[in-house]
Amino acid sequence: MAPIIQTRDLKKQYNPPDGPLAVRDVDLVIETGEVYSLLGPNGAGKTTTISMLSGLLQPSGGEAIIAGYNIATDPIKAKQVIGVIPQEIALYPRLTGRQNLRFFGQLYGLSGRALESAIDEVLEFIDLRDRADEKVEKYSGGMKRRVNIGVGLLHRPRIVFMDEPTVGIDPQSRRRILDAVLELKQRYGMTVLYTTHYMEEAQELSDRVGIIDHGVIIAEGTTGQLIQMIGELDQIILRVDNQQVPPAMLEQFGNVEGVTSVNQQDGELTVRARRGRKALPDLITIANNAGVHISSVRVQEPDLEAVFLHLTGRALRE
Amino acid sequence: MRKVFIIALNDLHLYFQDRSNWFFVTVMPIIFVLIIGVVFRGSGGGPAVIPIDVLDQDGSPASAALVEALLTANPTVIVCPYAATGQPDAPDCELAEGQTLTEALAAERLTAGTVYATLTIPAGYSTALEAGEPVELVFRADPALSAPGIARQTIAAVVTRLGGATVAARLSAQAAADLNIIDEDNRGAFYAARYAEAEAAWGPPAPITVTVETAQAEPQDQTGAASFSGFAQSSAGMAAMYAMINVLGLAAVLIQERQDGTLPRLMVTPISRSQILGGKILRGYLLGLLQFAILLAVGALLGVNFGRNIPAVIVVVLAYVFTISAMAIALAALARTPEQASGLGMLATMTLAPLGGAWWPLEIVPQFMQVLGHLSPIAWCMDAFNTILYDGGGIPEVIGPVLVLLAVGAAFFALGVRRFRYE
Repeated sequence: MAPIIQTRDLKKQYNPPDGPLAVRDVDLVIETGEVYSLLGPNGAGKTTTISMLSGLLQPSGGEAIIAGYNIATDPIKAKQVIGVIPQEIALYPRLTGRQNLRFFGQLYGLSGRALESAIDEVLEFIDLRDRADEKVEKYSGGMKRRVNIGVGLLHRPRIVFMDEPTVGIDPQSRRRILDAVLELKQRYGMTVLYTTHYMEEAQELSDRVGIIDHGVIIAEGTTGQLIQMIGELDQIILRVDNQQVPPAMLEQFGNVEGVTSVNQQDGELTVRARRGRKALPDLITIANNAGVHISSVRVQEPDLEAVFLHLTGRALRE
Repeated sequence: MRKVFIIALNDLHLYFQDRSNWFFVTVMPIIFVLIIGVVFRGSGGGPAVIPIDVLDQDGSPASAALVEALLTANPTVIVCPYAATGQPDAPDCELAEGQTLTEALAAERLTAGTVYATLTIPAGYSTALEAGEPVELVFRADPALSAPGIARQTIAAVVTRLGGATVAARLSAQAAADLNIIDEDNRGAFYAARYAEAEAAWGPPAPITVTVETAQAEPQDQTGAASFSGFAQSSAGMAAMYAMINVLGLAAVLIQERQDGTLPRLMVTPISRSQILGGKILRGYLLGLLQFAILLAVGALLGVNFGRNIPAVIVVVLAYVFTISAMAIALAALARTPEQASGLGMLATMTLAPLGGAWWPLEIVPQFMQVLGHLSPIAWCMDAFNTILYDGGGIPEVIGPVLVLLAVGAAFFALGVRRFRYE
C-alpha cells in the first residue's frame, strides 16, 4: 500500500533568491495509521514543513503527495482528507465554541444533520459539551486549545497535522492533548504528523520520529532505533568540584565493567557506560577509597535529547 | 459559491456582533444626513446661485429692457455684470475698475468658471425687433453642467414674455397706421408706448400662471428645474462616505485575521484562495449595499424622490460599492498592521469624502477643486446621483460615471489581488 504522506526533495526558501532556506530536500514517507513526530528546536523547519504539506505555503521545490493527491496541483482534494491543528489558537473569539465548529464544518462541506452530529461528536471528544455555547473569548487557554483541536477533527480527516499543540499550556491540558493524539490513532485509525520540540512527547506518542535541524531531517526511525544510533551508552556525571582527582582513580574507573570512557571537565567526571546504573556503586566505592568526595550524581540514560545532542552538539531547547 | 456566502455571512455576523458597528451603520450616518440636509436645505441642487454674463452689443432701450427683465426673472440666476449692485447674494462677478465686458473677456470668464453661461445680445437687436425680423440671441455654456440649463430656461421664459410684448406693440402700431390714427412721425413713440403697456401687462399679477404640483418628480419651480432638497445631497453623500468607512474596514479585518491565524486556517480548508477572498469581498460589498439602502431609505422618508429612476440608482450604487470594496482589498495588500489599515482607511475617507462632494455639492467649490475632486470615486458617484436627481437622468445618462467607477475598481482589484499576502 502506498504511503499516505510522501514527500520528495521538499524545500522552502523564503524571499528567494537570497532568503533563508527553511526546509531543504525533505523526504518523508509516512504510512497509514502511523504517528510520526517531527522533533527539532524552534526554527528547525517543522512548521514550514507542515505548512507546505497542508497547502498553506507553496514549496520552492520538490513535491508532496497526500493520500494520493499532489498538494500543489490538487490542493482541494488533498485538503479534504487533512485536518490541521495549528500552533496558535486560530478561532473567532466572539463566536461560541459551537459556532466556530459549525462555521469551519460548513467549509469542509458538512451541512444539516451530518454537521450537527459531527459537532456533537467533536464536543464529546474534546470534553467541552457543557461550555459549547459560550463565547470562545471566555474560555481558559486549555479550553481554547481543545476547540482549536476540535475544528481540525470535525470532518473526520484521514490525516491530522498537529503543530506544537502543547506549547504554553498547563500540564493537565497537555495530558489531555497527548491522550487525544493516542486516541485518534487507536480509536479512529488516523495518521498523525506531530511536531514538537519536547523530546518526551515525541518519545511517548510516536511510532517513528524524524529529527529535524536547520531544515534538514538528520535522523529518522523509532525511538529505539535512534538511541541505538548513538551506541546505547548511559552517561554518569559525578560532581567533584575543585578536588584533586588522582590519575589512579580515573584508571580504576576505566576498569569497571561496562565503562568505555572517563572524562574530567569543569569539576565533573563524565563516565560513559553500557549499563550505567550497574556500574554506579563500583564507581562510588572507588572514589571513596581515593578520598574524593562526590557532591552529586546524575545518570543520563540515552533518550532523544541525547540523540539530538549527539547529532548536533546542541541541546534541543538551546 | 456556497462557501463564499458562508464566509461572507460569518463575517457579517461577526461585524454586527459588535454593537458599536450598528451605531456606525445606522445612528451616526442618519444623524449626519439630518444635519447636513438641514444645512443645505434650499441652497440649490447644484450651485446656490447661477451667475451668467450678459453681453449687450446692441446698447438699445430694447436690449436694456431684456437685461432688466432678466435681472428680476429668477433670483437664482444672477445677471452679471449688471447684477452686482442690485441682487442680494450676488457672487463675485463684477468687473474690475474701468473694465468692460467684451466678447473675449466673456469667453475667458466662462472658461474660468466665473460664470456658468454667457448670453450675447447682438447689435441690431432693437432694429430687427421693430422691423419684425427674427433675432438670434447666443447662449454659451458647458453642456456637461446642469446649472446653465436653469439659466437657459429662465432666459427662454423672459424672451417669450418680451417677444409677446414686441409682437403686440408692432401689430398695434401697424393697425394704428393702417387706420390713419398715427403717421410715420409718431409711429416710433406709439410703438414704444404700446410695448411698455404690453410688457407691463405680463407683470404681476400675470395673466397666465402655471402652478406645478409634485407628481413623480421633485416639485418644479418656474424655471422647470428640479427643486433642491438638502436631504438628497446628504443622504447620497453620507451613504457614499459611510459605505466607504465601513467597507474599507475590511482591510483591517483581513490583516487582523492573518495575524490571528484564522485566515491561514481558512486556507487549509478545502476551498480556493479566490473563494476566501471572494467571501471577504462579498462581506464588504453587502455591507456597502446595506449602508446605501439604509441612508437612501432615510432620504426617501425625508422627501427625496428616487422613485422614477430606481434602476439607475441601483446601477450607480452597485458600481460604487464595487469600487470601494476593491479599494479595501488594495488597502489590505498595502498596509502591514490592522491599525495602519484602519488609520489609512479613515484618512482616505475623510479626504475623499469632502473632496468628492459627499459633504457639500461640488458645484459650490472653485472650478479647479471640482476637477481635483474627481480624483475621488465619491465625486463620480455624486455626479451620477445629481444626474438622476436633478436632471432626471436614467441609466444611459449615468453610464459615464459608472464606467469610471468600474475602471477604478478594476484597477484597485487587480492591485489588491496581486499584492495581498495570505500568510
